[in-house]
Amino acid sequence: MANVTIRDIEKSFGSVNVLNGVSIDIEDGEFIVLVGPSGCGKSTLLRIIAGLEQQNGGNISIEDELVDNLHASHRDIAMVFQSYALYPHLTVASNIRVPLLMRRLSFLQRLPLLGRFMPGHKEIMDGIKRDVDEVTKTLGIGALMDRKPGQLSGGQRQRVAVGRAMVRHPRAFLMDEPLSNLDAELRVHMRAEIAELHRRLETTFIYVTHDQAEAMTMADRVAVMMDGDLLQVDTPSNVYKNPTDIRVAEFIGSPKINILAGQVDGSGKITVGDRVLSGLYSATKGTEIRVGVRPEALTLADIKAEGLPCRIVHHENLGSEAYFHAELNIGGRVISRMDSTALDTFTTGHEATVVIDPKNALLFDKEGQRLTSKIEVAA
Amino acid sequence: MTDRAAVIEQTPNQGAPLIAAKSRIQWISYLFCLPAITLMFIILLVPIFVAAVLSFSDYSLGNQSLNWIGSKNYEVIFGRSSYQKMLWATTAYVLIVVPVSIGLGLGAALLINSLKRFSDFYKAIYFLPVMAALLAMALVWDLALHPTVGYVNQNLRLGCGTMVETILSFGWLPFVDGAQSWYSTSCADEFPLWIGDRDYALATICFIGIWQAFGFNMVLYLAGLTGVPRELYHAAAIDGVKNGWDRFRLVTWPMLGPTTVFVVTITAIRSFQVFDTVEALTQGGPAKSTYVMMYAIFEKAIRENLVGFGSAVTIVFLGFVLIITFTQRYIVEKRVHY
Repeated sequence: MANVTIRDIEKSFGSVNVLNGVSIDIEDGEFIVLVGPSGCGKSTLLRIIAGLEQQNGGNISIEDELVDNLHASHRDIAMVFQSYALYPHLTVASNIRVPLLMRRLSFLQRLPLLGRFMPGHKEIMDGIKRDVDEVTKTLGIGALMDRKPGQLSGGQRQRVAVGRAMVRHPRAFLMDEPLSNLDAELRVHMRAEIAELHRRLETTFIYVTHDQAEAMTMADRVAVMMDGDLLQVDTPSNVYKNPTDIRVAEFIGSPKINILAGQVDGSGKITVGDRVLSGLYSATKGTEIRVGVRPEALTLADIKAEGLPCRIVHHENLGSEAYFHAELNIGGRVISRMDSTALDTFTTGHEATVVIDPKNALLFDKEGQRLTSKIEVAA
Repeated sequence: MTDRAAVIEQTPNQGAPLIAAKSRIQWISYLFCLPAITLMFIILLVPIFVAAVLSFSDYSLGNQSLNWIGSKNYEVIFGRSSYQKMLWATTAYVLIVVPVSIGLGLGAALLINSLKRFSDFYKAIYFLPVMAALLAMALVWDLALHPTVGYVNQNLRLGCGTMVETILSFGWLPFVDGAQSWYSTSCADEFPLWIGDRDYALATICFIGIWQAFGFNMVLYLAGLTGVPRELYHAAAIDGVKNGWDRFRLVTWPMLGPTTVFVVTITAIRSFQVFDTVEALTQGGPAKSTYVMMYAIFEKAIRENLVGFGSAVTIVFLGFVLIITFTQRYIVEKRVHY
């Protein structure tokens, strides 16, 4: 168990900058998810924390101790790889045993054949067996002990990889997209299982994924990365409700947030197209802004209602709710998420009006920075 | 074929003709395979069969008739001392060349693989003996190993009485009498005749065999190394593997298992087949110390026209190779594919 401090980490491969000074303070026992599109540098950051990659600048400390010059094997952290990286020639039991063999046995005791005659070998091996049994019992893979990884399903391999990571009680767990090789159903299941494991172990988890659903469901805090920059680190609900950057708003949330072009007039009133958003004001006056509206904050109404006229071009029925894709008359396309009962009124081809809930509209400036100077007035 | 069968099946009201058509198609399929099967029989199987039959006779090329002599040829091979020497020389050659050339090949491959620069240069250098014609190279070795004018002995002689002798006589080690060492006694007396000395000839032939074979093994291992997943090394580092030996034991060596089986099989078969160096340098001598099987076959069946006896040696030879191949196929392969 340890806190991990990441300070101004920079990394470039040749002339390509992958990380431009990323800093995060990860608290002891926290589950933090690094999320971002592929190529944003999140895996590289994880590998730098692990010690598998050397940063060009900045430093990493674990338990307030700098580890930049420590080899991966000395950092006492465990990692679960995307491909699981199990040793294919070893059985499940032997795979889980490896980290303990490497740490508890001396070089002489590890020697083939001769090692077992070294003093203390048996006691250590008995201890290792106990620990391995405990882990396999916890993970429910006791029946697989003598199988090789090639004979296991994806989910089982995943569990073995987790077992190999947790058997030596590391200071922190690093996970590099551990669920991306599983099918959709198993992924949802393992999501809950890993979150549960974290609660039980109370160890620091640093988890990398490109799947924002994983980030939102598992994390204590989500760190959104893009193009080598850390955009925002916050709780899942804050990242969703109060994104500080338009790129965060666009990345988090499915379906994607609707972005509409808007103007702020001299009095602070906001207009989208030719419609004034009632009850919403911005302190930055006389500028062009962008208005982000989550699909659930955007509802369809009768054509006579006050709002932006549109035509429904597509609808998706998900059972409990429905997504409506609408083409605005002022140009642009938006998605509205409504209760599926709305399907009785609106279907593809209908004319309708888009109504924006001003309380849940997010304002961004032209550069994509969040405008916090949103003033609400009772409508 | 299945497509046509499907078409025929769809044709209605053709109960009996349908079956006839199906069996005709099966016959046609065999007909298509016939050229390949015929060639396989004529070129591969029949000669082995003929050799096996002739090995029970005293046939010589050009003879109108032959006498069946039962297993006498085999009794000679396994009974007479000169042929026991042949089996011994062949086995010794294989047992020395295979492990040493594989060890060196693996070592060179690991070293080259760890290089960031010049790896192509080293690959080319080590691969040179493989590309060179061994017969031509044997002539070069013949010159180099000449007892008096060969540069091997000339250079060894240069070292006598100098620091080289002090070092190579190992007198500086505790409990070693430098004056009794191989180098010092050779300096005082004479350096070996190498291929002309029955105690050194087989070792020299083995040395040339290793020199020639290890570059090939190195290339095979280099190819094998590219197939080791990088992530396993990373996992090993995370798991606490600190030194190269543990990394080799945990990841590299097991992952190279299939390559090793292949390399061992190929090298063993090629070592059984050693011929050109023996023919060019020693002709099986001195005192039959380098009388390997391939050379015996050549000498008996071609030079002395004892085709029956040569066939018997060939069959024994084939037996050895088959044993190696089947061991590889059915025992070892199962344990290296995970």
